[in-house]
Amino acid sequence: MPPKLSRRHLLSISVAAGTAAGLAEKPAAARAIAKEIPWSPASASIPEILSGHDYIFLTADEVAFVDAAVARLIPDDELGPGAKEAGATFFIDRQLAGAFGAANAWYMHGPWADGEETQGYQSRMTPAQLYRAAIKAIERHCRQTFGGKIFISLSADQQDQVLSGLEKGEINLGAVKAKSFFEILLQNTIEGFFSDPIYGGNRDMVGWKLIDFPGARYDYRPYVKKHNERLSLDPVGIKGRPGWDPAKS
Amino acid sequence: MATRLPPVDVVLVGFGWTGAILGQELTEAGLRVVAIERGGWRDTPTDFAVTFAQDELRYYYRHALFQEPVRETLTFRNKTRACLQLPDSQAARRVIHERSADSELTNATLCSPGRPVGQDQRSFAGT
Repeated sequence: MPPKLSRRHLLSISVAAGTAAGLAEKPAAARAIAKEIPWSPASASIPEILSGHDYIFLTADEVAFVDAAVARLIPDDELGPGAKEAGATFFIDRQLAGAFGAANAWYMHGPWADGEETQGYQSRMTPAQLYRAAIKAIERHCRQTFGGKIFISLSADQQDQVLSGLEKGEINLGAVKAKSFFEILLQNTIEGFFSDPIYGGNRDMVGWKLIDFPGARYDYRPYVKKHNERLSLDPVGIKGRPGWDPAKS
Repeated sequence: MATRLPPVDVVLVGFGWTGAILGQELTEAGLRVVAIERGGWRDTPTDFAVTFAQDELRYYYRHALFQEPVRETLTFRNKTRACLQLPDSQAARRVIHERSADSELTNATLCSPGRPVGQDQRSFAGT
């Protein structure tokens, strides 16, 4: 049991943390609302729409690494395309180039004691910084271990060996925590395979087709009474899909 | 220096469903009411519209409805083995509760990226 904290203790700590964390940099945006509803009809904070097909954050070498790594995490096999074919690398690139990569919303100040296993991402680096530093360190490890070869030149078994060494934290990447990188890479690969296609991954909804997921449908009432039937609905994304007519769905 | 605001009949601390109903009833009864709520304005049609509310990446993994920990966190990490984090908005907590009904609500959910928490997180967050 952690020590019980008195209210006074808590308040004094809060004040200290507030100062140390430099909260003055980004004060809470307080706002007084009177005699109105701060909301207008027919407006919504719709998702950001991606544009272009070029990589923004990842370099060509990093793209090759991520392509190879995600292809081992969710491989292309007899069940269908894998994460690489689904565009997970492009998804990851756009995530790293945006708010997620910069950890814009996260608390990224000290104190910097190591987190517990259960405490999730605790790195000082933003996800974008972590990817850059980790890939560099992994390539160094590969060259040392496999006679000068980089990750993409390794056999599938050797690549698995590297990935599993990262997962178990057995590979020393210096300043970068191998496990933290593996966890975020796996998480982002899964996201890039199963997220709505508006984010650049799950191309042609291959992730959803694999698991027979009908997608971001508005209404399931027509199907409520269909028990134990395979519905085989073509998935629909937030933006619909080619050939999809909202009036007929 | 404390700022003195004009006095009112009722101050509601927290403007979720209960606060909103109370606000309606009390103002209809002719009282002057101020409600205090933490964080940005949230309303369902704008922030959680049915046409894109299914977006699991945005709402579940990226916590789009939560107040941002970058603004809200007051932390003292593992040295004292406890950590204070202000509670999230009603809507965001509702998402977590709904999710927890069919999946394990583990610390991994509560301690998601950039959200430092410690052993006492649940009691402080009031969840």
